[in-house]
Parts: sequence; C-alpha cells; structure tokens
Amino acid sequence: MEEYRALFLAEARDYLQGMTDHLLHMEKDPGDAAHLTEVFRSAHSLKGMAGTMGYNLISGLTHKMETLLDSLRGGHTKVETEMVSLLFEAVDLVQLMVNNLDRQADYTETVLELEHKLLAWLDREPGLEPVPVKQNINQLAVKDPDKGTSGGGSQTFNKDVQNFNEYEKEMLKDAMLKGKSILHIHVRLLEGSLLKAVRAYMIYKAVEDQGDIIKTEPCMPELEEGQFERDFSLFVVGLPDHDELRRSIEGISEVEKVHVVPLVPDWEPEMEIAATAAVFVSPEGDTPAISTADLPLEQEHQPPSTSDMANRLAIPRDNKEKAPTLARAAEKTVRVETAKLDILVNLVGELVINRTRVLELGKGADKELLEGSLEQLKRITNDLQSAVMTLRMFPIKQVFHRFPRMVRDLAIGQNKEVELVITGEDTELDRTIVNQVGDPLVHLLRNAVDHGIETPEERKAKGKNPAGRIVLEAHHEGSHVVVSVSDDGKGIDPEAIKKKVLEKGIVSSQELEIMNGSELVNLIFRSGFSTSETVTDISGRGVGMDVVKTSVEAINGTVELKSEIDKGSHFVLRLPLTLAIIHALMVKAGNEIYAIPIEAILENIFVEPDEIRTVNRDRVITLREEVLPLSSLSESLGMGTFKQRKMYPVVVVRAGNKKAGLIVDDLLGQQEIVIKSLSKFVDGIRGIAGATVLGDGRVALILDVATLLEDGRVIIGKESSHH
Amino acid sequence: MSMTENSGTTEVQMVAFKLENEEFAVDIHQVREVLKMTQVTPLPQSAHYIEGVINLRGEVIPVVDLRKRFELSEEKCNDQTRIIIVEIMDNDVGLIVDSVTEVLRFPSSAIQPPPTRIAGTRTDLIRGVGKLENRLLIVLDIEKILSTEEIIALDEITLGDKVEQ
Amino acid sequence: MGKKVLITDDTAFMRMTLRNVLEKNGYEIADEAEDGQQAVEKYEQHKPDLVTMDITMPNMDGITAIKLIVEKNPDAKIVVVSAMGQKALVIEALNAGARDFIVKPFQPDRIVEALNKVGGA
Repeated sequence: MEEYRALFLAEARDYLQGMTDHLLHMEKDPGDAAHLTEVFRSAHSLKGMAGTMGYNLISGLTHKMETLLDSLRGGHTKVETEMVSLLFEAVDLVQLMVNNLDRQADYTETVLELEHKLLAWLDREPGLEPVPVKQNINQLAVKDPDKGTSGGGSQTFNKDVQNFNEYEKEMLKDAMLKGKSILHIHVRLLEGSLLKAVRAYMIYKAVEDQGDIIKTEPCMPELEEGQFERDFSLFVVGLPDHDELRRSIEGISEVEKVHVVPLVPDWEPEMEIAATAAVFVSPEGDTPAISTADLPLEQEHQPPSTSDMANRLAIPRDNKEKAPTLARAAEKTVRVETAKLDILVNLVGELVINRTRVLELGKGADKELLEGSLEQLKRITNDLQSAVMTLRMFPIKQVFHRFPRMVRDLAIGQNKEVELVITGEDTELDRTIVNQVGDPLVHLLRNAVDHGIETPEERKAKGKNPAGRIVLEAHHEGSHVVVSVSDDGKGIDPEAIKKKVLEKGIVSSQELEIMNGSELVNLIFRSGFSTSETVTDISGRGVGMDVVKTSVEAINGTVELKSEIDKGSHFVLRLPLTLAIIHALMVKAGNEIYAIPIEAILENIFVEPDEIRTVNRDRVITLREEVLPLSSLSESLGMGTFKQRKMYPVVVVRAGNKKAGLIVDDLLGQQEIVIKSLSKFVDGIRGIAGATVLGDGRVALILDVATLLEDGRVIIGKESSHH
Repeated sequence: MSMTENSGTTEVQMVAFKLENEEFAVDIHQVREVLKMTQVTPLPQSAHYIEGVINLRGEVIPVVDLRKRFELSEEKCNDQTRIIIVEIMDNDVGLIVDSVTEVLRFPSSAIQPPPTRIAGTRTDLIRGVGKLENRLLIVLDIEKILSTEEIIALDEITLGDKVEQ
Repeated sequence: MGKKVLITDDTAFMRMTLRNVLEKNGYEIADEAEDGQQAVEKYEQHKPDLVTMDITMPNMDGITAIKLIVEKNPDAKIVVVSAMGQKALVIEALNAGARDFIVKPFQPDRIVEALNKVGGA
C-alpha cells in the first residue's frame, strides 16, 4: 500500500500543477480547446486514481469538476473568471487533501460545500440537469487509511537509568549529591497530533523554565524530528514543584497525559567528586603560531558548475529494470531534513579549512608520495564540497510556480488585464536563497500589478495593448543568479521622486543636483522613502521598497531599478548562488588578514608612488584613462595609517557603479572560505560582512565592499595627515 | 540548555575572577568555559571595549576586554590573563579578565542583594554580593553590563569601603 | 458568556470553518482579520480574549502580527493555526509569544481544546 501511496502522491501533485497551468491558459484563451481538454483529462485521471486508492472525497470532488468541465466542452457553459476561480478553489482543496491523505474526514464539510457550488454553477445554465447534492453524501463513506498504531502505553518509570550514558550518569550523580530531585516526566500526546516536534518543543520549553533537562527519550535529534509515536520522556534535575510542572504541561493542547515520577537510580552516588576542576577547559593548542605571510595560495578558481556536479551525483543507472516513468520521478528525490544538510555543509567547511592547513604543512616536506596524496586530498575535498553544495541547490521554480495564480488573482481584483511571462524557472540556487527570495518577489510583482500596470482604459488611451505584461526572468551569470521583474506599465517619474525625497528630507537638494536619472530612481529603496500611508503619491510605487532591498541584501544580493515613464519598470536582483562558501582574495593590511569576495574585485594592480596624484587631498591614479581614487584599507577601516612604500598593491573593487582602489600591504592569493556570521553582539558593522577561520586557526574578517563604498570611507583624503 | 539556579537550592556555584584589585564573580551556569589568552582579531568600527573576535572550535566569538569596559588602564596581558566564555542572550561572548581565581560554592544565603542606596554605585549592574569568610565578591550582571553603551567606571560597581566588611 | 475570539486567516474558508466550530462551542467571534495587519488593528479595536492566527498571509505574516500584538499586550492569548510542515515557523511564532498551536486541517475538538486551555476555561 505504501508504495502505491508514494506513486499516487507524486502523480497527483503533477496533475494538480498541470491543472493550474492549463486553467490559467484556458482563462486567457478560451478559444483554444486544447487547454480545456488537458484540464479535463487531469481531473479525470485524478478521479480514477483517487477512487482506486479509496480517497472518496477526492474522487467525488474531481468528479464534479469533470462534470463542469464537460459542460464547457459541450459548449453548454462559457469560461468565466468566476467559474475559473471556483475550479481553482477545487484544485486547492484537492491539493490540501492530497497533502493530508490521513485526514480526509476533516474535509467532508468543505468538500460538500464546494461540490454544491460547482453544481450550482451548472444549475444556472439551462439545459443541464442539476445533480442533487444529497446523492453525493452517500458516497462519502470515508475510510481512514491508517489508524496509526499508537505507541505502547506501559513504560516502567523507575530504575531505567541503564539507558543513561556515562556522562548522563555523572550529571545524575552530581544532582543527587547536591540534594536535587530528579524527575522522569513522561508525556503522551493525543492520537493523530501533527507537528509533534513542535509540540515536544513547547513541552521542552515549559519544563526547561523550571529545571535542567539532562536527557530525553528518544534523544533530542529524534524529538526535534518528531520521530516518536505519541510518547516521550524528559529527565529533569532540580524541580521544586511537581504539581506546577504537571499543570504547565497539561496546559498545552494535544497532551493526553503526563506522568511525573521521581527517579531513584539503583546505584549509590560516590561521595568524593572533584569539586571544581571540571569547568576548566583550556584548549591551548587552538591557535598555533604559523606565519600568516605565506598562506597557501590556491590559484585555480573553479566556480562549481551545476551540471558538472549533478553528473557526479548521478546514481548509476540500472539497465535491467525499466521502472515506469513515475516511479523514477519519485526515486529522484529524497527528502532530507535541512538540519542534516546543514551539518554536512558545516563539516565540509571544516574539512576545507583543515585541508588548507594540511597542504601547508606538507609544503615543507618534498616527498613525492606526500605530494601525491595531498593532491588527491585536495581533489576529493573539492569534489565533496561541490557535491554537498548541490544538495542545497533548488530550482527557482519552487518560488515562481505560485506567481501565475497570484498575479491572476491580483489582476482580477483590480479589473486589470495582466499577462505574466516566466522564463528560466529551472535556474538553480541555494535553498536558503530560494526560500528568502520569495517575499521580495511577491512584493515586486504585487507592486507591478498594483501600481505599474495601468487599467485597460488608461492603457488604451496611451496607445498600449490593454493587457499589461510582466516578465519574470531568471538566469545564471557567473557565480550569481539574476532575477528580474519587468513591467510595461506607467514607470516612475524622477521628478515626483525628487519632490518626495526633499519633502521627506532623505537627501539634500545639493545631493539631488548631482544625481543622474538612474540614481534618482533608485532612491525609492532608501528607508523612509515610503510608508504604507503614502502609497499613491508618486505613481504609487515605493511601498516598502526598502524592505525589498533589505531582504535582498540579507542574502548578499543587490537590487537595482531602471524605469522610464510610460515604458515601464525593470527591477534586477543579483543573488549569490550560495551563502556558505565563497571565493575570496586574501589580503594583508596592517597586522590583519582580510578576505575580499571575488565578486567585488575587478583587478589587482601594483602602483608606484609617482603614479599617485593628489586631487582635492584625495589620492588618485589614472587607470586606462579613468581616474580611480585610492585609499588605504587599514585607514578606511580605522585600523591603521597609510605607510609610504616603494610599491603599493592595490585591489580594484566595485559595488554597483562605484569603483575604488584599496591599497593593501600584501596580496596573499585566492582561497575558498567558509562564511561564519559574526555574533549578534557585534553584528551590523558597516564594511564587514562576516568572518572566516583561516587554516592556522586565526579569524579573518570578510569585507563588505558595498557598504564600505557606500559609506564614503573608502574615498581617500578624508583626513590625510600623511601628505 | 543550562539554566540559572533560582531559589529552592541550597548552594550556588560561582566563577571568581579579578580585575585590578577587586574580586568579581559570575554564575557558573552562565560560564561556558575558561580559556587562556589567545590571538584576537580586532574588529573595526566597534565599541572600544570590544577587543575583537576569536575562533572557538570553528565558531567566531566576540571578546570584550573588561578592563576597557570599566575604563581601567590597559595592562599587558600575562600568564594569568584569561578569557571567560559566557553565554549572554543566547550568544557566546568572551570576557578578558586579569585572572580567574577559582570556582566557589556558596550557600545561597551567603549571596545578598546589592545594597540599594550607596552613593556613586551602580547597583543596577550588580546582581548580588557574596560574603565568604573575609572576602567580598561582587556578582556582576554581565548581561546588563554588556547590553548598555554607557560608560561604566570600575568604582561604580565596586563597594570599596562603602560598606562594612 | 462566551469568550471573545478574533479569527485571523487569509482564506475565507478557514475563517468560516473556525467561526462555525468556535460558535458551536460557546465562543463569541469578535471579528475576523484577513491578514496580520488587520489582526493587529482589530486586536486593538476589540481587545479579544483569544486570537487564532494563521502564519502565511499576505501584507503581514502571522509571526510579525504576533510580535506586534504581544509587544503592546503581553497578556494577549494567541493560538497559531498553522499549515502542515511549517515546523520552523511555528517555533518562531511560539518564541514570538504565541501560547499554543494547532495544525490545519484541524479536528474541531483540537482547536477548542487549545483555546480552552490557553483561555483558562
């Protein structure tokens, strides 16, 4: 039964997505019978499958959909927006039931109601026999597919410390010595509880507020994954009040019962225990002194190519067995808890760091054998790293696929005609980024429909096609993914923006004067530019655009806007492929090593003192007929002063359309680094994006070139006391 | 996961440390571990008392120099200098102190709330005062000390001769 | 005297279902909110005894709404009504101040139980 169910699930989801797509097309182009046929076929197939599986509610509902679709095919009924909406509602409900196969009974009322609406639609049309609703109720003998065998109810509460490991036993002993009580709290959840992991978390928190939890059964990772039937246990030390504890757990819903039993271990605690020594752990070897000047330089820079990695990951084909298409489709995906993936990614990160270290240690020894093995180690870790990173890659389709419906519903709500064109939906990027790019895109699309696209009348008056067009596009560009949202609506008026920013005091009129059109338009991303109360002032745009910017920047991306009055607006999001590991150029400035992300670097040059000129107290050079301001990295970070030298290594960096030359003390070479976030405590330092751990155990800071340039700290001559 | 000990227990454990000539203590439940002084990477654009960040088994952790926090003269670090890793608001933070003396067990009755009104003393930054034989330990509210930007002078959090010992 | 409940959900269907179940069980529906923003406003307007809160909603999500409501009204009693598979979000909502949660599609007695427990009935 189980394998049928997996097949059913996979196939049903395909059909539902297919129905959504074709319904959208059908609405757009009612004349094209092909889409209607496809929707009909999907509904029909789904009905058959669900019937076979005994999911009578699904088969009943899809049957009603089929009836309605059939009347469309026969020309008895016409495609109308309201009816398509009704069909969408049915698709949603089927989707919900497919997602919750075990809880079919809960939907009975909803399904009946919707069936009634579907049939009522038919009823309005002459020449069709309405099907009495009553008849269907009889079909609804809903079976509960698996009545979940609940976990065994009887547990022995006492003397079960044999499951405790040595460490846990030590904790117990310690507690007993201190005269604290030890409790075994056994909790049983109600049958059929969902999100058991979260329920366990709530209970855990409630208990943790009152005592120290030293052990759980099942173990924490399993609790966190919800891997238990209905029962789990917490062992807690030092609770003053049993009753209060019980009450606080019983106050949580879906708790069937709680047992709180004092635990009496069947061994005697040893009385002599070292009182204090245990707290002192001094890992001295943590930071060996390795000269930082000769860090290993990794010359080859291979951005992970997706297809390449996919090949490495491919499972060898078994030719003997030709499974049906669907079975293969189901096999292709394995669900992995994201937490497990993250552990893997972290481990690989550590491995990469250590590899660098080992390679360095191996440098001194000139044994061929060692070199060979090291080379191999390097290759294997590279491959492993790429493979692990692909595990986190998802097609952006996962975000895109809900947009056609959303745009349709928004447009209908405002009596606008909007066509959404999507391309590049197979573009892959990191799961975290896929998850986080959804909200900004919703915002941009919503804005495009609400404020970009004009009403059909306005459009006609402007000589445009009455139907507006929004293009959502994604593609790879180096180690970035570019996602853009363009509309052919009314665009943004720079003059209106000028008025508004002056009004709000966001920039001064002097600043405004030197801004070009593009800089002006991009002011809408400034915080404080707009609030929800002031939506319609300037072409209505700018509703919380700073929020879009912030959330895109949170994933190391950038967003830019191009707009032309009455031609439309074009938003471009540049997102990194992945967040965890980046390529960076390591540089030395003062006593410190900094990592500069490769994406921000244009080139490295060496500059001689006589090439440097001083303009308005700023140091500049002329690089290929362009004036490039130079500034000392140490100085701009406030970490040191500019020192005279015979030759200056300069890293030319870029962010947006700003360029600058950073004078450093030494270029140490390119390296892959694992990004570690800075603690919340010191978060948000302008110019610093995070930190990384070097091969020798030291911490190096990662520069955030965008904010560094934005703050103007990197234009030299700010307070040049040296020239 | 560990939590601070409240009422109902008979004993509390404190990690005692020195700054200048004063002895302080933090609740052992807040202490993750104690390290010898290690290489600290300075952080630009941060508060003057943030010494920088260190690598603790692959995690990057900020370190606060308590001497600088309390406006004391800088002292070259020596063999006695320690970094106490404490957990504050779910974050690990290192505290550089002159030395860590010991782990003390107090009967909880020996810890008293800070005296409420003593001129020139920031009692809001003190959790309590522990009296042990002829020693006087000030139990700091590390969380408050690190979450405010105010300048705090050392003598504001010591009792000196303001109370009888 | 039934306790007053503010229902928050972006789907009319869920609001209706919740209304039916709760009214049948002696609760009074103070109002319905279609998104987080409305929930925050309507909370201030009605000061209901209890709130049911969907997580994924347009304009303002449930977690933000919980934060805003609890910030002003630390005693607000909010029960999250989440979809399946929103484990991380539910935990976030609980950390933001929600008192309990149930999972959609819910059995009517479960939401009633949760509201009874949280409301102290």
